[in-house]
Amino acid sequence: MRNCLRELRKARGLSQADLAEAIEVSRQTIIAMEADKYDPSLPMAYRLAAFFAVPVEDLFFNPWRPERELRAPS
Amino acid sequence: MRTYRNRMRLSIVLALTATVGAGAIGGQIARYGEPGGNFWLVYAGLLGICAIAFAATIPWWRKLDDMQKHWHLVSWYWGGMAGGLAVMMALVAATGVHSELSKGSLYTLVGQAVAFLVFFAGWSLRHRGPEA
Repeated sequence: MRNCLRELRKARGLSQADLAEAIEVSRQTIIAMEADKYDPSLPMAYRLAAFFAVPVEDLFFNPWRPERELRAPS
Repeated sequence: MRTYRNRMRLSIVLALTATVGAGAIGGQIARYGEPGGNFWLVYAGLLGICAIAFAATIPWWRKLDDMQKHWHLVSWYWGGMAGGLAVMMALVAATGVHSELSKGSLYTLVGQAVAFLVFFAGWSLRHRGPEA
């Protein structure tokens, strides 16, 4: 699932190991998610979204919703 | 410092120590008396040791994140089954279908299949929800 985890992490000045430690997952998991090789569970997605204080869909892009709808929510 | 990484390492050390220890103690229990002579006593002792070893791996399992659990489950299902079947087929090819070794591997496979069905049923029952 496409996401902007890497961008958000870098904007915070965190390494992959720092983020992994903060949300209590392995570094491999962060690497896999950033590389779009692993789709997280809902709890993990929400935990990451809460950590970065953004809605889940701003972090993990919903492939089933039209992009226009995501950009301009009513 | 009690970081996630340190707690994970600690749980791995506990799991490995318990598993190796269980193997060593189980080996001693298995030598108790004549083979098959104290079946229930030896069997109960070995099962007890296995239960302790399993229990010692629970902290490790609970600390694994989603991906790590998925990783282990997929590896165990495909890798574990393929490895077990490959060894079983080698034993059958080398010693014949009716040899003690072939039978032993078959019993192990049957035990795995039965336990699989029990867990499969338990999991599906636990995850049932009310119908709308």
